[in-house]
Amino acid sequence: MASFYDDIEPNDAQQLEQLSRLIYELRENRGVILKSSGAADEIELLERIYNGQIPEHPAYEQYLSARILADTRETVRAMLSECLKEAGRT
Amino acid sequence: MSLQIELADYIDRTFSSRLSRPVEHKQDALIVNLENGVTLMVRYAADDAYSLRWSYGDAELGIDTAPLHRELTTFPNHLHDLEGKVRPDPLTRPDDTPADNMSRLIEALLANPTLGL
Repeated sequence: MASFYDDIEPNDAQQLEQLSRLIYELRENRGVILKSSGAADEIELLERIYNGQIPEHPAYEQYLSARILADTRETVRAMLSECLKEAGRT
Repeated sequence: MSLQIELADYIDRTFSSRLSRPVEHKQDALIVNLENGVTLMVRYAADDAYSLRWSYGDAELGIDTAPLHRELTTFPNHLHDLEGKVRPDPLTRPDDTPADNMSRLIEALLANPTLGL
């Protein structure tokens, strides 16, 4: 079976793999943070803090962490897209 | 580039001689170690959404924008002092740039790690 990376230069393939792994890690780490607070997403977590359902700290830091991880994931996804273009795959 | 990475670059450039080591990057936070022993944890998700918590020996303080303390003149940003008491934030403003807020905080912590509280 042909590999996704068959027609890509080794250096490009390595970079693509690293970015893909980072996107996965960021998604998983955000999920762990949200799961620990029992919230489905950042908005629900902030609402729980605001309504006094959970203590302000460390919940607010968890809320910020989840947002930062989501934003960073979008940044890395854009980088991955650019790398794919440069590697001639899109 | 993400806000966190921009901030780390700014802090490294601006305060290089006042840090005990370069800014440490976590996926969700920055750790800034000042020359005087202060360790500052920075979570800056947006101009108006941040938590800046620091330790100095056994002392722990923090500034954040959790929208809970409407009674304070600086709502939503506020300071948790040495005893965990909530006070108006004397240093940062959500309508200011993250770089300017970080500069004021780091300068203040270099001068007095507990802000005199």
